[in-house]
Amino acid sequence: MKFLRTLLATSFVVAITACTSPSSNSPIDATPNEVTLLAYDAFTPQEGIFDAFTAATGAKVKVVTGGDSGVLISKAILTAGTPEGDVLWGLDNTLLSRAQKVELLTSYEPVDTGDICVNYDKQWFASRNIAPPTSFEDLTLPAYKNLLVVQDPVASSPGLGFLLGTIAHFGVDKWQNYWKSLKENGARVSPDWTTAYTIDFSGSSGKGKYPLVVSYGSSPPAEVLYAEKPIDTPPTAVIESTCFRQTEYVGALRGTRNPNLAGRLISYLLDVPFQESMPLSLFVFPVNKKAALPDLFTKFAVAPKNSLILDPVEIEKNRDAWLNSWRDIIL
Amino acid sequence: MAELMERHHLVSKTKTLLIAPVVFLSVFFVVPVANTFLRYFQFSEFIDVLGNQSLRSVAWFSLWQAIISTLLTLVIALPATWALSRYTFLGTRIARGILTAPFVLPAVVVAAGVLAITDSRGVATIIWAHVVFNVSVVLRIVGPRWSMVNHRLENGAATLGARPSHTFALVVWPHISAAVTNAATLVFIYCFTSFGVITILGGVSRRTLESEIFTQAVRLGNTSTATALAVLQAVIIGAVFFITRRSSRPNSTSLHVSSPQPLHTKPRHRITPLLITATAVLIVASPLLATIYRSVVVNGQVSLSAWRSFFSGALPALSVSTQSVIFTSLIFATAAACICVPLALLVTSSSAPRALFSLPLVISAATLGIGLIITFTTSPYEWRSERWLIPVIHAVIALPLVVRALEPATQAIPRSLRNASATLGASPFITWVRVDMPILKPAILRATGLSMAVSLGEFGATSFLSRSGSTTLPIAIAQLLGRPGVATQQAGFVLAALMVLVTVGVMSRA
Amino acid sequence: MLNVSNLSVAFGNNVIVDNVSLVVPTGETLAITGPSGIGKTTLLHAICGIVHTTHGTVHIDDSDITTLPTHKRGIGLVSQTGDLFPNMTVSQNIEFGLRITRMPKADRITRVNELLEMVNLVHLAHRNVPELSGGEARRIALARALAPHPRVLLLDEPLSGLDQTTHDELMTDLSRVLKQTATTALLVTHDHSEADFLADTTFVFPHK
Repeated sequence: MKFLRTLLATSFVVAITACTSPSSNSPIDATPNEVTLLAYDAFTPQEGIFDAFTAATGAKVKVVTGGDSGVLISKAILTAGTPEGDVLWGLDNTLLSRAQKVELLTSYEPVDTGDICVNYDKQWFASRNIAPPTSFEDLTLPAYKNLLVVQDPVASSPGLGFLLGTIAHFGVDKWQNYWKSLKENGARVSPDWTTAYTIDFSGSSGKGKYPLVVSYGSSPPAEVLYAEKPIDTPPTAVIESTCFRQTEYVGALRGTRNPNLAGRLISYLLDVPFQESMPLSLFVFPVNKKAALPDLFTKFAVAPKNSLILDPVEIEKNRDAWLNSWRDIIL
Repeated sequence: MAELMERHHLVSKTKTLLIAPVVFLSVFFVVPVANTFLRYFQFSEFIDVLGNQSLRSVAWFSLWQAIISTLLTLVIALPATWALSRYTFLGTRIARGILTAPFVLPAVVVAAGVLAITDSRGVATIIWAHVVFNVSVVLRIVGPRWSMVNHRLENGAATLGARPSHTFALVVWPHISAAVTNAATLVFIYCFTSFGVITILGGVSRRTLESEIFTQAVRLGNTSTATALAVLQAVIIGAVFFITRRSSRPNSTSLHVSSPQPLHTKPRHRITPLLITATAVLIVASPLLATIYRSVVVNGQVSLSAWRSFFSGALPALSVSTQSVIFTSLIFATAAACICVPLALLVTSSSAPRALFSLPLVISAATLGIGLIITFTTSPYEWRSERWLIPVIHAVIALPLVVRALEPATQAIPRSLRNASATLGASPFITWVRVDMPILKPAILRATGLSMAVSLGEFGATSFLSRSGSTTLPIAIAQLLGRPGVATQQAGFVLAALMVLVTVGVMSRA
Repeated sequence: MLNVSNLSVAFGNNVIVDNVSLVVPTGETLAITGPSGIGKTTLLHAICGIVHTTHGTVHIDDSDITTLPTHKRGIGLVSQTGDLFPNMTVSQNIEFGLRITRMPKADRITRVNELLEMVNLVHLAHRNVPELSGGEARRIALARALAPHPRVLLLDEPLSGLDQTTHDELMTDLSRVLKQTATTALLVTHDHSEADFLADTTFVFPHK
């Protein structure tokens, strides 16, 4: 019986690992009436936005999600060459180089932008007659002690964005001192965006103790859109000088079996109708200059012209070292 | 005397029962995991990991927090198990429902509930959350066994002059010790491999091996470090199983089942079980109540608007409706149970070594997840994006637990009943169907509930699997709580509160 | 006819049944006597196939059943503990062996009633097993074993543990039933007077 078991197990292992992946070199789509878009769980496009695409090409768009952006990219990298879908949405500038190393995408283009900035609770500061902070440096002042919550950059995309912002602002040698001061000034580190924003932050549903939180430049309009009772202005605002630019890319996966449809879908995603739907469904800024922004965004979303940026190659080279340094300082 | 020896040399039970479970586990577990190890394990990396101070302390933390969590769980759960399996009083059903419900709930819900109460993070809250989740395991595994202890034996011991503590040690303990060891081992493993709780309540400085495996594999892209850690974790868990293997082999003496005794008339006796149960319920229920509280209190005021929009069907910011989320979760849970329970029955009905079927407990969920996506990539095995793979994986993960839950019941069937059936002309298979199954019906129902529970709350291995349009409850809750906007978060808490209420209701009936 | 020839059963180094031979002519009852715990039950279990034999053969009429699995031997057993199926009613218990033979439902019902009458318990047809008294359970166990017309019936201490009145009643009825059905029976008991009353021949279990 034991022998039978080992035999079964071994034969399966041999059978499956021996199978090599067929790569598609032909320009003909394998499934002409369906194209698969891989994205992260938070990707919730406007309902019906792909109908026009289906009408034009005869292909349905199947959105396949699985995890957050980190999980998504990891999975894609693990399966590079034999992808689960045709087009990948959600690769951002912090992970771009990692993807390029394994030639994950045959081509890619920026599809949206956003900023990671410190958000603050307007009401909290107004009721105490305190002026909210306006810069990175302000956050280390005693006046703002124990008021900031940030996210773990290892696990959280906004957390990483904020860390990279401080590195861009202070330089690769001085950012460590900044974080030491932040830590001394009582900055709280939460494991992810959800805990930080929905539980610790005072300006959202959690009514927590912290009026300063790392989040997105598009969080204030989201607060208006999803308010409990209708409001005119958001209860939160953004500290513009702390914004770090995040760019998301879309691209065709190497080994896709529907290269033509993939190309057409990418064009569609970059075209005006989809780009115009993005602000209120995905809370990002369109890259297509011809796309008009909704009022809510023009009034309340923040995308500073001079957001901090870092070269993706630099990020890839140093990210692990930076994260380890960060861990040493904070833990 | 001769009869005693005979018991150990009976004609063997049929081994063909094992084929289906073994094939199932091989294809959906052994192969993916083996694939991961084969592709990413490097011995040199393993040595590096062992030498790494920071990673060693992660392993140490995983160990000691698990030990303390287990001990505390036993301290709280065992007296409550005693009270609930021996007595029936007003509120027994609800108490049982509350104590067993958390097992189903995703970590996000319980952790958010704990935070809503204390707002502090650290080891204490981690251990509290662990207790909340795992009291259920003890209750479900030790409970049936405890209620099978024959009152007459205890009364007999009393008439022979034994004090209650003596009776416990000499009559009750031998009967339940295997189940307790079993439950304790499981609780330890769940706490040791804890991921969601650690991530949310641990802050940044508290990491377990499981969360580190995930971080290394997914966040940092170091798959070989992750695999090395997975091996380390598997070795430790394997060691735990090995150490406890003797004491978890159940005593196969079958005693008559007694139904729970109505409360003694002595006032002194009435208070104790009630108090004990109330304490346990308080500890477990408070985070759950906090979730419900957060779903109806907005900005400090009571508001039912979130519940009202819930019933209207739309979920803010998500492209799926409430109905489809609940429907999907239920379909997956039912499918998982339909796969898992029959397989578990086959396993417990044959004399299978438990080791093989405990494997899913030993291997980290992240490892399995990676294995799944790199294995089922080419036709005809290209299953990684197939919807049915999700309930299948739920079944794989639930299998060790369901096998353990069924075992006491299967072993309680006296062999002589099977002998009688055989002498009446029934083949082993017919005996199994016509004699064993009817006797096992209550246990089978409990097992079904258990596997549905595991499926409803599963978030680890299947989070690696991609889905198109089939959002389950834990995922929907995580998505809702993961976005800005009061309305979305309220919706998240409403779903979470709903999960709490429904599971408490269902578990009270189970 | 039951022919047991040089039957031995050993567990490891312990020989429980040592080279036992006996013959039960068709329609007759043989009693096996001896003190408790020396292996009489094991002998019965060996004969019906629940336990492996190390040497020897078992024949019924001319067919060698030594290597057959229990359910194919056609040997009924009334065990010491009765072993009625707890989830079934009395009738369902008696019917159990008949369902295997795929007898039509109507015939099964007739046969069940026949047996209930034989053991004087027609009124208990739909009673649940846990509600039966000791004596009643024994009778039902007997009826159940007889239902599928076993070629041989084994009885393990069928009268032990009963009060005097029930014991005597059951003994009389057992004797009547065995004669009425002309069953080839092998009966194990530690009580010599029982053996004398019920059996045509007595076999003393060899002990060391």
